[in-house]
Amino acid sequence: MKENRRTFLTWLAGSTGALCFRAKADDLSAVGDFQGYPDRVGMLVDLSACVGCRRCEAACKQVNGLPPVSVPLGDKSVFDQVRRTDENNWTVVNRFIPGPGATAVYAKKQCMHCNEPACAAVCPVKAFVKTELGPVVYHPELCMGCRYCMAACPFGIPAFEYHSANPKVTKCVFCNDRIKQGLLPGCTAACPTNAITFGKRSDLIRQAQQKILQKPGEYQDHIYGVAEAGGTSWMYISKVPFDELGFSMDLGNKAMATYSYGFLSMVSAVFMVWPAFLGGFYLFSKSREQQATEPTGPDANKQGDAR
Amino acid sequence: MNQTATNPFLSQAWIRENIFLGKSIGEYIRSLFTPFNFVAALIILGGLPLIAIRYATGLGFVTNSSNDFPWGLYLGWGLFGGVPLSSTGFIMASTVYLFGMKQYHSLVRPAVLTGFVGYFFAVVFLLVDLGKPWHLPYPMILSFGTSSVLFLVAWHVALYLSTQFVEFCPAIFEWMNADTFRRWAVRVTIGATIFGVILSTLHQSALGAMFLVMPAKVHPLWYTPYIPLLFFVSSIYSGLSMIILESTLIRRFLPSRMAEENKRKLDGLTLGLGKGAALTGLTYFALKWTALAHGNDWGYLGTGYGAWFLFEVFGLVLTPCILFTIGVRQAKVTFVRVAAALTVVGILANRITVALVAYNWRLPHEFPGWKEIWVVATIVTIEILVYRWVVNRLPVHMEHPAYASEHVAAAGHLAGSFGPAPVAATVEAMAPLNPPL
Amino acid sequence: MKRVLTRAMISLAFLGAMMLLVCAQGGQRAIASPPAQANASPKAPQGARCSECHSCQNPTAANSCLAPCPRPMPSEGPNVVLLKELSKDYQPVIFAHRLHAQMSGLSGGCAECHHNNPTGKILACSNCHSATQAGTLLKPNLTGAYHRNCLQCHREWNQNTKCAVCHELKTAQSVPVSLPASGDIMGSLHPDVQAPVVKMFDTSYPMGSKVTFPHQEHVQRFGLQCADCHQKEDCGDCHHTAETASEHVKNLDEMHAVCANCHQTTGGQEVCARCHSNQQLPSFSHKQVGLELSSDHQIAKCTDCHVGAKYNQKPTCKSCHGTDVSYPAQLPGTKVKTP
Repeated sequence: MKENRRTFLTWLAGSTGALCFRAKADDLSAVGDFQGYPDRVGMLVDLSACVGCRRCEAACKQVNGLPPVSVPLGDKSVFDQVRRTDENNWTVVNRFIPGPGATAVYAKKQCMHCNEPACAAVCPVKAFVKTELGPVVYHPELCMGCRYCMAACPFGIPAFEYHSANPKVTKCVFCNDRIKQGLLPGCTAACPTNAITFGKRSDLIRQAQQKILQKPGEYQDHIYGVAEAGGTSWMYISKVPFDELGFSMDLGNKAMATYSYGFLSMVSAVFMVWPAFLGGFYLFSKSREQQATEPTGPDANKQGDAR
Repeated sequence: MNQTATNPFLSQAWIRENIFLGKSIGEYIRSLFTPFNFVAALIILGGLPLIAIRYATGLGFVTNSSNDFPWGLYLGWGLFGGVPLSSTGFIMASTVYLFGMKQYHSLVRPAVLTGFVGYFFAVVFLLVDLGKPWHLPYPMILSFGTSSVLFLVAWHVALYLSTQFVEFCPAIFEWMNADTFRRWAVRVTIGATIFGVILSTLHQSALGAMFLVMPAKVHPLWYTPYIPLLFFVSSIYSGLSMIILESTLIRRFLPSRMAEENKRKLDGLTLGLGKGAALTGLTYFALKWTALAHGNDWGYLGTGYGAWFLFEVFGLVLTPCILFTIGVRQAKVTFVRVAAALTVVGILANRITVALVAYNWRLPHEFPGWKEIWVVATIVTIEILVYRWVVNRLPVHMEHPAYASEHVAAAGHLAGSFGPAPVAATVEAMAPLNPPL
Repeated sequence: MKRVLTRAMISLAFLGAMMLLVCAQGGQRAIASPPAQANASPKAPQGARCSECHSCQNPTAANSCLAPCPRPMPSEGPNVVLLKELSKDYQPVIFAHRLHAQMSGLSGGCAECHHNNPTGKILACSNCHSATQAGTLLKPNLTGAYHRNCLQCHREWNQNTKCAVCHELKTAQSVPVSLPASGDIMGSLHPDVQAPVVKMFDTSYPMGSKVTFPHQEHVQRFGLQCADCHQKEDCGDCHHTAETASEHVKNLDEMHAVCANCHQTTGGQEVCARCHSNQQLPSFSHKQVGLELSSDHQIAKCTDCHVGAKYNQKPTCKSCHGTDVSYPAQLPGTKVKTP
């Protein structure tokens, strides 16, 4: 009998421990001050090499089975407005003219695949997951469609199928299936000027640093995405200041998810402290009341019965 | 009246008495033809097809929210606005059961009902707004996004909805004449209350904490690390205001459903609630400025957003607080009631501001469309009708006749389970409230 | 053994001579084929004179003052180059090399395309830029390298015509491409740039809005090069596309900047009136500046005395006379009163 109980307790402790451990490993992608998987891949865009041909847009649509481009590739009127990503356009190229008379600079926009993505951290069902390889992937079979990911994304990337009865949240998934097969992502393969480089993120950072150092003063001394919002897998270098090209420069270098850590860590504390605090208060007020009603003996008894 | 208590649940007599309010079906249907019901029916008949088409063709049909502004009125009003206005249950339950201010006992049931209905319809709003509402239970059963504040909110709203249901069960069992069940239900009340307070503390503040991850998107005047605290504190005085409004409206429009004694006591209780609201409201007012100073965002006060911020803080927070204070000090109940109404407007304005107006403030905003507003109106109308249906049938603002005798002895404690005190004691306890402070 | 060594040395010498020959003639090679030499680092080739690459006396790492062109004159380069890496599926791309080389003076020089290339031998792009491997940021693949060079300027590329503008698909009917005789841009002749004889500027100067600019005279008579005035211009300056069209309004200084290289543009109304005269000025004669040239000097070219078309500097007499004649000790004519 005693033996049984000990076995049970061991089993209980073991399984609890194992559960804790498992949960921790699972949550790494979303919780904790996570530096990122060391061998994750990334992308490096040299904005000065982009000529705005939008072949990346077309290739993205083809690879991901999206409807073809609505404005023909040659039609420059598409650049009259700065566009954002939407459910049919997982990547868009925008044109920026930095200053009067200056030559146009084109900037491709897509999911940045953050090291510690806000979308994954805020998803209540883990529909967005940062994979070990680098891409942030989506599981439509889990998604509730609450759109917290869209609200939280510091880059304004995820888009929602507002006109579907069974909608999905959509965004660039880094052609996860293609890169697992050793293929280049659709946009990268299609880029005629090789403005996008695919590779290990750490290698890409070194390349970008070298490129900037090669001709001092030519490139901006900044690699966008190394630190922004805790670092991203997609990174950019440019000859024109980034804030003139529609890049948010006020995101800070902390992952957005970290801003809610303080609050989340309070939750269990409240669960521990509140019952003690409130229960204590209840007992205190009850005993005070009991003392007040002591003289009326029968009532006090009745109260005891009601317990 | 007393023999109704003996009618078994779902017997013909019970149905006639407890569903059709003692009328024949024909009489009952004729009694429904009132101007209020007519307007309500118009709103609902217009709104239900909109909701049906929304489920058939997608959310885009009934919302102006977009990829840049993913959250529209359904969440801004229904969730972020609806939940703080439904904090009534936890506030009154903890006031009476935990802090022992038994004089407010008659307001616990209406408060719990307001809370329950409010949360229930927050979930209804969520069901309208979610892309895949049939995945709503997934955070509970399938995939646990523990790092998400919304995961916390989802669990808490679900748990708290159940908790409030449990808290309201005595009233339901009284209505069903199920005495045994009722006795079991009242026993868990204190546990449920403590659990409810924990849950409320967390998810009221969690609604604010949901915005913590958006430092670059929410306008600096509203984005602050204090936002969970701001949401929690404001939920307290908005809940107090809602109880003031709710009891006033019921006494005005459904006087037969409020016990005479409760009607008499109501003005005194309202002043007491107003005092609490004034205190928490002023705390909130001070916290708003502390948060502003903490972020050193004074520069934004000169902008258009600054003007709105100042209007919100002075017009919709400080003004009701002053009205509450004047009302309490000079025993002018009308002041307190007006202040309560203004507070409710202020809370809705604040939550909609944070979720919609101050959100993504650098981008141009679009006003919610008529369909979006109509659907909100539809759900709110249904909410009011459900509330009225329950108040008309269940003993909410009154004692159930079967337990009235017990209650006279027990001085109006929920089922007399928590230390009965003589009526005289209650009246005495109220005494310090009534005279001018 | 000794014989083997000698043979080796002879063959080495032969190889060296061949390479020298290839280097010297490299410019005439119309079609770039991958050379045997794989070293593409911009190291100074042996035997080269410093001044061939560096334009200043003491080049440093920071300021290497590299000459923009790996060879002295763009005209030495091939007229047309056929790019036929994709010859399996496409007709070769016809690249009007000389035309581009001539225009390159307006922007970055030869090095705009032939970057990292040491003086002498021009290396094929594919020497560094791989046609098969994925490119990197530092070394884009061959597709990227070509397209960057073309599309950075030819942004007007209309993609409705897809790739066929440059890459004509190879079909059964395709005939082998022969080198066209004249410069070709994307398969169609670029029209000659017609410079006006006289350009009239309509200015907002109230005292005299019309300014005459004798364009032809500046080019033909005074020997100014296009790039002397048209500085930092590129294709886009003529080929306006919506994105490069300037909305910038030049201020007074900017408007006068080109003329001010040689002419005085500031001073009183008198100075302004020299150009802002409201009438077409007669063509230049030397007595306008107060010196009537003697008949023997009138037949000389302007640039004989004003070497390098530097009219704001002291003229030289050395091109005809010995060192004993110098200006202004001896005048090439007689002083007259300026009109």
